[in-house]
Formats: sequence, structure tokens, C-alpha cells
Amino acid sequence: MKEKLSELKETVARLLKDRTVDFFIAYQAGHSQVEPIPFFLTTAEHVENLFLNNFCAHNLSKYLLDYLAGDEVVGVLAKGCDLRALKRLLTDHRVERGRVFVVGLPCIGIYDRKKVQEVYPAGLVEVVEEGEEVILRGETGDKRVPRKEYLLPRCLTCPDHNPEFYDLLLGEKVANGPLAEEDYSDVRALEEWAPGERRRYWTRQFERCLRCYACRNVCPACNCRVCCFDVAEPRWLGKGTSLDEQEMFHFTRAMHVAGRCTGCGECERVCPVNIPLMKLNKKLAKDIGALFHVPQAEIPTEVEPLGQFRLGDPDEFN
Amino acid sequence: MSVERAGTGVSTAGWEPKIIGFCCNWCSYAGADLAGTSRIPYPCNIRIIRVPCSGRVNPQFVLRAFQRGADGVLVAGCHPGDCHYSTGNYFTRRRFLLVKRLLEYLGIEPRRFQVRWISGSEGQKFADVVAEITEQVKALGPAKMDKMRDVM
Amino acid sequence: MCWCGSNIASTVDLDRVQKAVEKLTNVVHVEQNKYTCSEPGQAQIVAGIREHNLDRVVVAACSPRMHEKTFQRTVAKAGLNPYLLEIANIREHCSWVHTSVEEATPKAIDLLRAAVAKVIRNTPLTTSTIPVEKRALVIGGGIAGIQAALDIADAGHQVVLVEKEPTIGGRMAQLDKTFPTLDCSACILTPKMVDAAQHPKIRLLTYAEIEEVGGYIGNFEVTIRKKARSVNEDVCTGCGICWSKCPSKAPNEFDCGLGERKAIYIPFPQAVPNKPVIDRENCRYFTKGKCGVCKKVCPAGAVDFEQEDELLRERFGAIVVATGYELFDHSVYGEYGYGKYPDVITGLEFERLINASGPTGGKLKRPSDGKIPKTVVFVKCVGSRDEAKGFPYCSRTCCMYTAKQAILLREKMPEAEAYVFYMDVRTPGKGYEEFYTRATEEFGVNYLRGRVARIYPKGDQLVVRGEDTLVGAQVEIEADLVVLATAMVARRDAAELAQRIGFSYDQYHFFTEAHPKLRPVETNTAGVFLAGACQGPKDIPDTVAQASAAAVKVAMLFSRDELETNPMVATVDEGTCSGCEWCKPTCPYGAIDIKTIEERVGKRTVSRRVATVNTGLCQGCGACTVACRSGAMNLKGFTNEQILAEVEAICL
Repeated sequence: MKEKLSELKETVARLLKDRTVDFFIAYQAGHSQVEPIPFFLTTAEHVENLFLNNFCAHNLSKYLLDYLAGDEVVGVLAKGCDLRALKRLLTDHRVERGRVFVVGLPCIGIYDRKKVQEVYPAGLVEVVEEGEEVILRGETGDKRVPRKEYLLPRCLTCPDHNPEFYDLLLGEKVANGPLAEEDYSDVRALEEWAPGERRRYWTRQFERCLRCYACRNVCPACNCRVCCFDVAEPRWLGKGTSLDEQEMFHFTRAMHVAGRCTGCGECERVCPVNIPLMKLNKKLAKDIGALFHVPQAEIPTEVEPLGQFRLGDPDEFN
Repeated sequence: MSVERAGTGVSTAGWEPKIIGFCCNWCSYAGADLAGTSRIPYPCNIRIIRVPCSGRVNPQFVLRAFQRGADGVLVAGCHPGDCHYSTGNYFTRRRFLLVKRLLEYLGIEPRRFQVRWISGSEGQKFADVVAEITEQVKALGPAKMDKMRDVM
Repeated sequence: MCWCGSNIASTVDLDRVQKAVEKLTNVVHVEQNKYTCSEPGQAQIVAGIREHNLDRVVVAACSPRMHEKTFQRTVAKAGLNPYLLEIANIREHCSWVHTSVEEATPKAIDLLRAAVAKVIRNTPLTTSTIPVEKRALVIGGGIAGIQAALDIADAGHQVVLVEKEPTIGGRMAQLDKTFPTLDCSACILTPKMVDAAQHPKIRLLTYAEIEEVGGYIGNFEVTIRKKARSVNEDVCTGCGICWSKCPSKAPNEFDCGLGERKAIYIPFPQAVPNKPVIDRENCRYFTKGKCGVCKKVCPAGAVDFEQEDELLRERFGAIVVATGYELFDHSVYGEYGYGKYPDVITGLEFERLINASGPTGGKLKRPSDGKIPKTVVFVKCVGSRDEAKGFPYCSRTCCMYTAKQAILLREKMPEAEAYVFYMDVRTPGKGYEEFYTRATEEFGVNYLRGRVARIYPKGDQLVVRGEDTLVGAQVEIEADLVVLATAMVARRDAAELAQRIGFSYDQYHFFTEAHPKLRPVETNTAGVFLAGACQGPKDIPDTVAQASAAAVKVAMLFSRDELETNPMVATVDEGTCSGCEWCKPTCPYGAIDIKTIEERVGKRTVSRRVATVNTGLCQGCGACTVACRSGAMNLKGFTNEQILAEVEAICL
């Protein structure tokens, strides 16, 4: 990671100096080791503040939407999942490829801050990967744990350890292939429940919702110029937080990303009240895959599954 | 014909389900008109909203109906292949296959939301579908989406 | 609120409804009448509007499919925009289907409440009119295109007939005789070709292709590429000296490559126009830079080596697409040996070999050694009704033309034997079954039911091995010539043309009619019509019938000077639109485009992409509105606001 960081510093400095890019979006250190935050650089002098470790979860490409109005070229650091998000923005014609300079970052997994903090509330110094295990090194000593259990959920089934495309790659490519097959086991388990139980489950989830819209704001598929939740007329959604409005919100959000979700799970990661949003997104991805024969429902395609049809689609509406 | 007057009057419990039907202008709305001109009786619980095509029905309209207290929702359009606008109902079909499953996943009894293909010549079918959905929703009781905790 | 005599009033307690409706916000006046659609009923509405200064009207009566137009005219009479009216359907959807007043009355109140909630969100809509350019474009100069062009021209309208080959005539010109009457194809076709060429209202553009199509019904803008003919058509007299003196030869496409033509040529003697074209790929002047014989001998000085492609921009009110078909490439049937054995030919090649003006002068000589065949085997359904190797559909014409070819063979050469391998014999046309019966009974053609498994050479003959399923035995026939009835397929550039014009096609790339039964010659794009085999396999009678039908549709359109546009079309809120384009694929009419707008952001002017709706193409289905997550795309007359208001009003 250290070598990669120095390579990143060198690269960003060069790109900014030779005016290949006008801005660069990467990470800087946050409050702690486990909370890196986005970093927007406009000058090469700031590269010393760049930061990189295996907690850099943020999908930085979403910030590209903030630079739509001008003609600047924006550099962005992108892992495999972030690149898929960028592909979403490109497919939705929200970002022009020519205005993005992608520095690809091979990645074998990002650790789940919340899980790590459970065993290591404070003072984490670094994580050291050792095959299937990981050593959490803190001020008070080391802890050796199975790697898989501490990764973000998306990293387990991630098919893109290397970004699909880039203008420049940081370091060497890593071995590709998911650690586990996407079997939608969470969704399937919930489908098995009695309808009443499921209803109560979702009620418990939705009633916690603060309607902070963090899930929407972080989502690469939620990239509308004006969101339907923000307009007064027509009133798609009331401002109140009664349960019916919460459900309307979550239903609408899920439907709006149906067939467009890239599976990054950022919505769930940033939710302050831990609503399992991916259980909705994955449900739709699973059904789209099964009903419409879309083998990889989370890879952006030229025409989204709901923007097309086949004469032979299943029909149960007679 | 399965529609009988029995059971469609004021029930002893005093509760009657409210069902909203989104009908496409060219087929299903015409089918409902034909049920009328043929004097085929069906339960009075349905209220029809005319739309040009079933492809015009935004899933958010359906959820809004539940949100405001509807107990059942019917989306009706032309049979696949017969769409007045040639392809609208194919999109309807894709979209609502998903919506139906998502609603069920959220714990909403799938029989509360139905999509049916009803042509302009199927007045009897329209009446049958309304009778069927009314009966099913009646058996399920009020949806009360606004009072989610109390449901089921 | 209408009583409709007792039709509504006996089941709906209108007084109770009136009390409820009067309390609704925005409602200022409620009245009932016995027959609202009657003269006095309508007058009462007009008076009500004037007296109470109303700006929205709800009529609670029969279905809007019945009288919406009537009442729109009524409110217009009072000076109100006709689209400020809504109908509450309390007859078909209420009084006629519910028998008790206790059931029907609350429902009627709900329906009225919904109509009121909707109507206050109605906005004035205006129908604009678009002028109709009374000129038709016919694409394809086969029998379909010729017939359509003649009919439209006879109706008094200008027609431009575009054909990509150097002559019109199409496939029909290649045929020898036609079933079931055995008229000579050229004898009935060539007079029509001449009529088309000489018609004062028809302009022929041969050796030309469609480059670009824009616009919409009544106002298409079409760019036509007129390919360089290298011959000045205006001065050429078609005397033929040039092609008789031309030293370069090439296979003649018109004869399926069985004969030869010169590099400067007309495809066949009766070609229309009778003006040659230089095939630059085979011309010595163009390939070697030396020759120019044609130019030297031309008495009119018409040969022009410098000629270039010309782009013509034309306006049309309607387009008839009549681009025809191709034959299935049956080289996938390796076991039939096409291409390997010269004496395995297609039905079309047979037509040329037996035709008096064909490469053999009408003597049926087999291609390999010119011998007169004694035994000829015909194989049907090559590529048709075969999902594995070809297409599942039936090509419709093969049964009949195979019977015809077998008859022609037996008629010309009674000593020759004809065998036909078939799956079924389909004869659904006037005089068709009788024709087939003549083939078997009068002409002694041997029909064998079964598929051919293999064709292989033996000496200078071909052994055709297949199964006779009726006898349940393998049969082997030693044949001198084998004729394959290959499937009719869409032209290879069909999909591209459909995309260019903007209408749909099916999985086999045949063009799709607007309705399989009731709108067989329209496409789903207004103003674009179909004729002939480009829509699906067809024989000549069906093709001609469809061509005339398409011509009538064009004439109907041209009977009006102006078209009213549908005001209930999709509309884009540019401020909200992200330009994501997801609305585009849902539009069946190709009515959505993307445009770039400029706007001020801070101190800068920036450009941004947004969707835009072509109101001439949009039919108002609203599919795009649901694809639009932000709600930027809306449908006039059925807006998101209106429908949500109806839902809320009903649920109250």
C-alpha cells in the first residue's frame, strides 16, 4: 500500500502539473485510520496529504457530477466497483468520458469499518493481509482474524478486482475473480419468511429511516439532475416521516435503480441507521436476472433491462 | 358467470374494499364500457382511472393508491401484441413483473396488486376480473398501508 | 350531471351526488339535465359556463369514448378551451353495472371527485395543424412499388419512385411465367413499367438509394443518393451501340450470374429506363484507364466518365416502402451441394434458364455441360419451415411456383420427368388448388412427401436421396438437374432502412405492420406504409393488393390540406431533464431526440443535453413518462399531477 501511495502522489502531481487534469479526486486521512475521506486536489502541492489504505470505500466517481457544468478534465481514482459506478454515469450520459481521467486502482477488498471497530474500537494502526487472514494491528496489540469476515459485503462477490478500463493503472493488476459467488442468499432467506413476518421486518427497518437521503446521494444510479423526491409538484413523496411515506420512499428508490444498480452497496454502507437497502436492490437484481435472462444484472448495459422487452418475456397477467 | 349480487352489498362489518383500476383507453377501458353496455353486473368496489396505455402507469401511482388507503389495485391493458401503441404493454409487463414481486417481498399480499390483459371485446372478462379481485381483497381485509404495523 | 333518461338517474341518486359535489373545493355550480348530449342539454352547459364564468367543466354522463368529443365542442362553443373538460363515466362504469342505488351513488361521487381533481389540473391544449406535402415517395421499383406509384399518381398526386437497381421491374421481371394462369411475367409487367415511366405524375429515380429520412407525417425530408450512372440520361437515346461495342464482360446479375453482360449495360432488353449504366468495377476505362470505346461510339455523346453521385433533398408527405425480398442463402445446407454441384440451382435460376430472353434463349440446358436434363428434382422448403437451419415461417409462394416450374418443364419437354419433394402442399389462393391438381394429374408431376437428406454426384448425374414418408421408404432419384425452392427472406439491408426511416421490423427483419389484422399496410410510424414482400413473404396477387391498399392510404392522407396534430403529446421539462436518454428506447415512434441547450450557470454559459419530443411523431402513449425517474417527461392531458390527483381523490 505504501508503494502505491507514493506512486499515486507522483502520478497526481504529474497529472496536475502537466495540465492533463484540472482537478483530482482521491482520498485523504480522516478522523482515524478506518475513516479516510474524499480529497479534492487542484494543485500538485497538496499531494503530500493524499492517503490510501484498505478502508478507502467511497466511490469517488459520483463527485464527477459536481463538475458537469464546466469543461475541466477531472482525474479520479477508481477501484473496480467505482469504475462500474463510473460506467453507470457514462451510460446515463451524465459524464463525458473525455472529461474524466481514470487512475485505476487494483483492489482485493475494502474492510468494513463498522466490523473492525467492533473488535478494535480505537487505536488501529494498520491492517496486514496474510492470505486468508488479516492482522489488525493496534496500539494495544495485534489481532488475527479471517479476512472474509471483515470485508465489505460487496467485496466478497466483487468480479472486478481490476477496473474494467482506465487511463492509467496504479501498480500491477491483481488476480481477478470473486471470493464468493453471488447467490442472493440474504434475499432468498427473506423470501422464505411468512408475508406477515416480512411485513413486520420491513416496518422495523423503514420506521428507523431519517430520510437523510444519504443512500440516494451516494448512489451512482441516482444521478438525476433533479430528484423526484425534491420537487413540490407533482408531490411524489410527502415531506413527513410517517411509515407510509417511508415505504413510498424506499419503494420508489428501489424501483428507480432497478436494473441500474451496480451493486456497490454504498447506500447501505452510508446509512446512519443501518437499513439493509441492498436487500431491496439485490431482490430486484435477482428477479431481473431470472425473469429477463440478464446474467449480470449489475453491469451497466447500453439499454437498461426496463428499457427493453422480449416478446417471449414471462407472462402471468392473463 | 361467477358474479353474483351476493356479497357485494354492504357487509355486516361495514367495511368494503376500495379498489383502483388503471385501464388503458383502447382495450381495457373499452372492455369496461362493454361490460356496461352489456349490463354485466360486477362489484361496485372498483374505481377506474383512464390512461392512454398501460405503459403510462407509473409504479408510483400504484403505491400512492395503497398509501392513500386503497385495498387493491388493478392495472389493465391490451393483450401483448395488441397494444394500440404497438409496444407499450411489453414494458408494462416487464415493469410490473418486478413490482409485483417487490411488493410481495415487502410483505404486501400479492393478490392486492394485479395486472390483467383485457381487450375491448372482453366485457365479461372485465366483470369477472373485478369480481375476482374484489372477492380476494375482501377476504384479505383492509390493507391499511398507512398503518403498517397493524397489518396482518 | 346527466340522467340519461333513466339510464343513470334510476340507479344513481343524483341529488345526493349533487350535494356531495357542491361541497368540493373549486366547484361553483352543479346542475342536472335529462339528456346532456341533446341540443338543450348542451345549450345548458354553454349557458352555465357564461353565467358562472366557469373555467373548467366536468360532465358526469356516459363514457368519454362516447361523447368526449361532443362535449369538447360544447365547451368550445362557450369560448372555453376544449381540453378544460373532463368526463366522469357514471353510466357504463356505474349505473349500468351496479343495480342498487346504495352501491352506485357513493361510487358516482368518487368518480366525480376524481374528475374534479383532475380537471382543475387540466391546462388549455391547442391542436396545431401541419400542412401536408402532397408528394409521395415510393421506395422500391418492383411490382409492389410500381403498382403503388401508379395508383397514387392516378389519384392525382406526385410520386417519386426510387429504385436502387438501374431498372425498375424487380423480381417479377426475372420470372418466366406466373401461376396459376401461366401468363408470361414480362408480358403483364413491362406495360406497367412503361406506364410508370411515362406517367406525368411519376418521376423515376433508378440507380438511387435512400440516404437519410427526417421529419414526420405530411412533412418528411428525404435525402436520396443518385448513384453515378456514367451516362447522361437526358441525352441517351438507348440505341444500344455502346453495349454492343463494349469489350468488357461481367456475369449478368439479372440472369443470376448464369449469363454475361457488358460493363456498360442494361440489365435486360425491356429495362425501364432504357438507359445503360457503367459498372465501374468491370469497366476497362475505370480499372485500367484505357478504353473509352463506348464514349467514342455514342452518337449522342451521353457517356460521362466524370459523373459523380448526386444527393437530392426532397420533401414528401407520405412514404411507401416496397423493397421486396431476397432469397435464402442455402449454402448452409451443405448436404444439398449448392455451389459445389453446378446442376443444383435455385428456383429463380430455373426461371432464367427456361425464359426465352434468358441466357439459354429459353432452352432448358443444365449449367454444368449444357445438356438437356431428362430428370429434374424439385426440393421444397429449403430454408422455410426449418427452425434449425433456416426460418420457422412458410415462404408462401414456393408450393405454387414449384408446381408451375414442374408444369413448364413437362410442357416444354414432355419426355422429361419431374419429381417434387415436399413437406405439405399449400394452395390457399384463387385457382391454386386446381393448378396443383393439374400438375399432378394432367402433367404427371411426381410428388414425394418427405425431406431430402442428401444430394451427391454419380457420373454426370446427381443422386437425390430422401424419404418418401407416405410409403415409408428411402428413395433415390438419379437426376440431371435439382431445383431448390429457397425461402423468401428480408433484404439484408432491411433493418438498416427501417432504422433510417424509423419504423419497426420483426425478428426476421420483415417490416412490421401497425396491426396484424386491422392495419396491415400501415407501419407504427404515421405516414409510412408498406407494400409487398418487405412485410412478409407474398405472391404477386397479394403484393399488388397490398400495394393498392397502401396507395389508398396515401391518397386518403393527401385528401386533406392540413393534418391536425394530437395535442396530448409528451413534453419535456428541460430544467429537470438529465439527458440520460432512458426515455428513448421506450418510444415506439422514434419521437424522442436529444438536443443541446445553452444556459447560464454563474458567470458561464454552459451547454447541456436534454430530451426533446417531435410532436409530429408522438402519439401520446406515455411510455416515456414512466421511464423518466425525475418526472421531467410528462404527458399532456394525462400528466403525473393529474393522475396522482385522481388517485388521491378516489382514496379520500
